[in-house]
Amino acid sequence: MISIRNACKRFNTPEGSVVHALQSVSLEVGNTEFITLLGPSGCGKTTLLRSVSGFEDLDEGVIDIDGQEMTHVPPNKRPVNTVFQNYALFPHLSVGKNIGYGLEVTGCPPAERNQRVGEVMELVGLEGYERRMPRQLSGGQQQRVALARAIVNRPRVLLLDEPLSALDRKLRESMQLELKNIQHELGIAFVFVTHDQQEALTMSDRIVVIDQGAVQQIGSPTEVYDWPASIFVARFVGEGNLFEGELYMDGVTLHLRTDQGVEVQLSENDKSRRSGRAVVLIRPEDFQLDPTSEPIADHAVLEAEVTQTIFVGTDFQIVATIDGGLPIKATIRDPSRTLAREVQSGSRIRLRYRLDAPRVLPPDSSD
Amino acid sequence: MALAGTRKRVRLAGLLSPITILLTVFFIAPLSILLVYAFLEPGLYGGVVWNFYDQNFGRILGWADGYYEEFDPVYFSIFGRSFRLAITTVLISLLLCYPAALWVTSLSERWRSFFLFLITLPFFASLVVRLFAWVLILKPTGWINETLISIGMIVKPFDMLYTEGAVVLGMVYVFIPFMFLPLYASLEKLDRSLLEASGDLGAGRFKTFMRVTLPLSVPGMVGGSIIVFIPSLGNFIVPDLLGGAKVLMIGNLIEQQFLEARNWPFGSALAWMVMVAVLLFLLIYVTVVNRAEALQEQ
Repeated sequence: MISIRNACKRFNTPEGSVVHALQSVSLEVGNTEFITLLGPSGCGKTTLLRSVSGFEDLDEGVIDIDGQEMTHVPPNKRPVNTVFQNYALFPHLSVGKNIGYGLEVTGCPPAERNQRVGEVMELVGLEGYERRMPRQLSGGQQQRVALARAIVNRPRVLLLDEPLSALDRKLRESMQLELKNIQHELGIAFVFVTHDQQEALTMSDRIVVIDQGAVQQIGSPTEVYDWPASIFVARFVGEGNLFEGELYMDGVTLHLRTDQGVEVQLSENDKSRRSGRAVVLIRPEDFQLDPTSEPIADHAVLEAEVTQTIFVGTDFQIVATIDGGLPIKATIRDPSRTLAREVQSGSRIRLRYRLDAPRVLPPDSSD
Repeated sequence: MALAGTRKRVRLAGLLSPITILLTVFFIAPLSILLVYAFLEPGLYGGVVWNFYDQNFGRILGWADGYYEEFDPVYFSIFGRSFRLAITTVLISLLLCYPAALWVTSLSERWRSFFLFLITLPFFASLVVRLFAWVLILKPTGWINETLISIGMIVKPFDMLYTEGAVVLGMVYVFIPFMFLPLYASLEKLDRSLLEASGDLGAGRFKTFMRVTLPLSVPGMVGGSIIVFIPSLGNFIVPDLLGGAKVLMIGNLIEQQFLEARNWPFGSALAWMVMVAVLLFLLIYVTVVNRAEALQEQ
């Protein structure tokens, strides 16, 4: 198990200013957990990963692995292995030697080494490639070699630094599932770094959303998606319509009056506040087209004028403007495809949503 | 299509012809003349006699000609010495440059440029002046000997000048930039994430160096060795100034044949012999290195 407590790291830029790559980050990773560090590039997620592997020293804070403090333990003595972003395969060694490298340098006898190399090659689906050189492999195969090389030492934790970013979309999607299966089979913890929210949602047991060196939210994919803790998380994970304004109670229903004067109705829940400034999030897929004007219990409606309708494969994406000039996005599934004809630029639509769909977020002063 | 091809060929010919003409006229032609001369009889008072004559090469290998020369491997031994000194020069400059080049690659961009500039700085001063400075340092009344005598460590001066050691020292001194630059180039493009990967997989610094850095810098070592070896072997200024009459190398021998003995055919034979020997040597060297690399890959 990894335990990170109060990790801080600062860098000096060439211009003389200080960048806070990590700001008192605390995190616990379970023994068999698949945890993803998610954030935009430069947010500190790679720095955090490199602190765990030992390539960066923290300015403050402690990292323990299996109860042992790692501060003064060099990278080669830590019970973790890394899959590097560019794979970092040794170009002068064959696939077999690349994979066996970790065993060779730690003095594993040749017979055992060959057997274990064979095992992991089978696990990652590379049988028969032992004598190839890395330059003779495709990107996906190189990725597998990097993975095999990193797990052959049987680390307690595997660190993966954006390992799929160089692969094309189809291959990336199949590798996502495969990585998940391999993690399950090995029964070890994976710490996976990515800037791709879709990837994070697909693979993780828990997601750590990081921005500007600070943890924004830690939670399961559904928690992070459904209950984002901040505007940043709401924007970074999935798409969302954000309405900023004043909350007030009107009888039993909660309202938000935006600065442009749009009224958004929502129901209370135990996580939401009742008054003061706030931001309300409604996901595009929470909307449905409401052809009738009859009120439905527990639903509310926003009227808007369509500016664009885009077919994106499974759904239609409608970009519209609410009265007062607020843009709004809705994702509507319409297998009959009649929507493209009916909803065109300029037509008025009624977007219906369940009252419990909107989320109330704290306003962001810096935004 | 055909027209485009023709145009391309014309442009290529235009780009390549200046260097081709230059090398043909001033390199291939003289070399051919040398080859012809190498099989001609030397004239008694210089010049050549147009007779086929195989004794030039015979003399180099020490074979007696059956008339007035007995078996005498003196030229052969000069060849041997030249190879020995050139190889020593290569090894010493490799050992000196490798750690330095490795260190420079670890510096920031600005400091790297600074040290690269320093390495090329000696080129700005005359070679003869720089070598003559060594004469002043190494001679029996030079400051090394004077200092040692004055502090009473030795009684009579060391013979440092006009020794093989002095020649090797001078050649290392002259050729260090030629070793440093290719080494630096190959170490500089070494991907640092490979070193991290090695550490991550459990190798300490020494193992990482032996298994990653060293094998991946082989091209730089081979390149630097060749670039230092060839001019060392044929060098005549350094042995002339620092070796004197005692440490004769092939370069001096050839120079003597052309300028002093006026035996152009023998000089030509020597020049060709050096060239063939160097090519053979490099062929063997590169084959061995490639074989070693192929072994590692398996």
